[in-house]
Amino acid sequence: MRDGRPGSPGRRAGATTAVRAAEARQGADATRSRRREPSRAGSVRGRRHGRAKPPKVNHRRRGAFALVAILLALSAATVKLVMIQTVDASAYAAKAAAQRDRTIVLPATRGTIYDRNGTPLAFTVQGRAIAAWPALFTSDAERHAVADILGDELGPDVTAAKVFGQLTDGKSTYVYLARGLLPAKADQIMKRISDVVTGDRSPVTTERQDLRQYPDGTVTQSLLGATGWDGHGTGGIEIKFDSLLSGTDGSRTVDVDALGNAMPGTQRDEKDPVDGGDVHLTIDADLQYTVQQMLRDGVIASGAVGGSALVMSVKDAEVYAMASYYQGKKPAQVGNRAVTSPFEPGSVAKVITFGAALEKGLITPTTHFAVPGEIEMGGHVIHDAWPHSRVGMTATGILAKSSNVGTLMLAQQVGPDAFAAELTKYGLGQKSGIQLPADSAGLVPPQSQWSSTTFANLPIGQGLSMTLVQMAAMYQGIANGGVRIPPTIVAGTSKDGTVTAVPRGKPVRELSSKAAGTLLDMLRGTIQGGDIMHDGTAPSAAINGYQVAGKTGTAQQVDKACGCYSDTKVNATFAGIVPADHPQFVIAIMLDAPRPGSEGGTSAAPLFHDIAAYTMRAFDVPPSAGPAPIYDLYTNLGE
Amino acid sequence: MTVLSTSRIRPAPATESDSEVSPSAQRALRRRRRRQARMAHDRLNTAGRPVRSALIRVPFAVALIAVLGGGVGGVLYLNTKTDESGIRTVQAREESAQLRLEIEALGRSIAQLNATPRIAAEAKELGLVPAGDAAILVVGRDGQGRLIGTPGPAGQHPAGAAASGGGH
Repeated sequence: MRDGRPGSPGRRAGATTAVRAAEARQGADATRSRRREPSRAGSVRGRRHGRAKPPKVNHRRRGAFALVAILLALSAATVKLVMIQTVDASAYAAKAAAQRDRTIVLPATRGTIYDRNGTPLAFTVQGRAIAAWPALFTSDAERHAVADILGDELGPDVTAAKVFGQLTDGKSTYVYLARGLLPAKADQIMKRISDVVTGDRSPVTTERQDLRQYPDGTVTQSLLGATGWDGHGTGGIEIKFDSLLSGTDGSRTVDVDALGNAMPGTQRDEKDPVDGGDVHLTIDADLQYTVQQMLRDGVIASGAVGGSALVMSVKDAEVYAMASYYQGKKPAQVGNRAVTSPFEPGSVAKVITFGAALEKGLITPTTHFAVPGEIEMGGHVIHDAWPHSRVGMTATGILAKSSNVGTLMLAQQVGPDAFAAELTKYGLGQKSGIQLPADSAGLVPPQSQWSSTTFANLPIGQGLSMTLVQMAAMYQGIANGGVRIPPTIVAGTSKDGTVTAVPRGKPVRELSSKAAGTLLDMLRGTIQGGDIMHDGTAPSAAINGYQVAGKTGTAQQVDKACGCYSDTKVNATFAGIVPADHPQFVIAIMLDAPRPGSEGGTSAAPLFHDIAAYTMRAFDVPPSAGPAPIYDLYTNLGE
Repeated sequence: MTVLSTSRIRPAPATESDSEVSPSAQRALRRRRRRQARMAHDRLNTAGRPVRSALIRVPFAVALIAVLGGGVGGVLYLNTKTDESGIRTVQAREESAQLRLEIEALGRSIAQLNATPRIAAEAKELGLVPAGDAAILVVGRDGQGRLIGTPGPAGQHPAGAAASGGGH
């Protein structure tokens, strides 16, 4: 201490003694003269002899002041101490913990979506993304080397020039160089990269990034949807069942060292991830593919803008296939129009009028009607699709030939009240309940809002809208002895091996079983071929060996420009039941704006034929016991 | 130690009758000699006993050391074993993770190869066409086969299909 004092003289043997003596002297001086000359206390050698003037200090006051200052400082410290130790204690503890430990997320694996046969339609595999901190490279040569390796391994999706650009643009501190790699491939690339990069910390790293796989690709895309960058669903089944499929991420806490590396043996609070549950659809992957292909071919063949097709089982209203296709549009742009987009069904909805008439006992399949060429209703004149004078038709003929005039005559017999009551039983205007997002309810005007022309439109399927699912469900009821079961596309869900059946809506009786049976028989007339007395609107829907019941529809589209019905654009629809004598499947088709002049019978019916013929064989449906009876459609061709 | 060397104590002079020694000094000498004799007697008599008693206690100390040593050794051994199995666990976990990835990758390629669009494309490449609305051969109850529709090349609609649903 003494020797370290600044400016102390060099050490000599005598110096120490001298200093000691000086100090002793000074000590004595200080004792003697503390009151008078405190300034001298700093002197070591006592060389200064000039005496300072005696200070005028109030020592008592100074003492009190110092005491207050010290007490203030102490109390401030105490307050702060109390604050830290009690009030903010948890926050500081958390900060300390945050510095010390790190929570690692253990990602849960997303569940699988299966078809009805257990074929995976969507599943997740672990993948890797390669990312880099551009600033951690030691030279551009290194960046070039890494870019070359990635370009070499992943070209042409990833080019060396692009990677080099990412590494040198200086925009971001962390860039993704490649995504969606399988772990083996990523490891192989990282091994090559580790040979070329130097430096303490590797500038290139891998990140876990789960890959959602859709083996059937675009075929199932509009149905299943997709997952976004965060692994959650963005559409279709993926979003509808997202919480089940996602599962719950787990976590693990580890202590980290100053560099942020986990210290071995410090793992704790381990929460295992709960993997997502699985969804079992009623879709048949093969049929789905076939329907999608046939729909595409049918849309192109009919010159339509697009269309939808749907296959549903009669017994339990399970959707086996559901496809939408629009020319020149990607599946993601089209979406699942069979569920989301209501349309005016046209004559397909005439079954409601016929069902009401059968229910009231007004007609039998052979009841004779004298059908004029036009009918005036609600101030409008309605024609048939083909010009004719007054002809004699059977009830079956009116349905099979799709006579608007005949159907409206029938509707007048039924009456608006009875018709409105029947209309509510078909599930129209309310959501079908199918487990898909954006399930549209369609639109049916309630009787209180009917205008004068409404009753001239509704019985022939204009002025109301329905989705393809609703249309199929309507026919499922007819095929199922009058009992409509709310449709489903999900058979069940499973979690940890426990399968839970999906809750189903309550079946609704839309027709008595007798009326439904008669209507089903009459619908076979549509498919009849032969001479003018006997051919229905859709002989091209007939399948070899199976009786078919069905109904065509051609509804004018609403022209958005004028708000009126378009003369050229129509919805061509077809709903069919096969085999008609032992119903197994309902197939519904809608073609959006086929080439002008075509009708449901010429564009949608051939497509129905292809889909139905395939479906019968794919599901080993036994052929019908015999050919369908031939109904007389006309009783005379001019009265 | 209980065994003390006696060399520290200066021995008393041998003669007692030294004329130059005063009687009081002689008495002192005698006292000293007696004391020495008594002390020597005590120590010589007990010389072996402390060693033996010490030796008697040795096995206990050795046992303690052995127990301690054994304990330390055992702890070290167990520690090593734990570390070893810890390392094995880590290795096994890594291996299982690796195998899991392999399973996933293989499952992925199975699903891709098994996908309907791919099978359809392969079939097309092999020149296969969908049978479509083919003729059907039905074996009746009487064991007789009946043909429904007219057989024709695949991909064409059989002629019988056009009429009235069932072309029997």
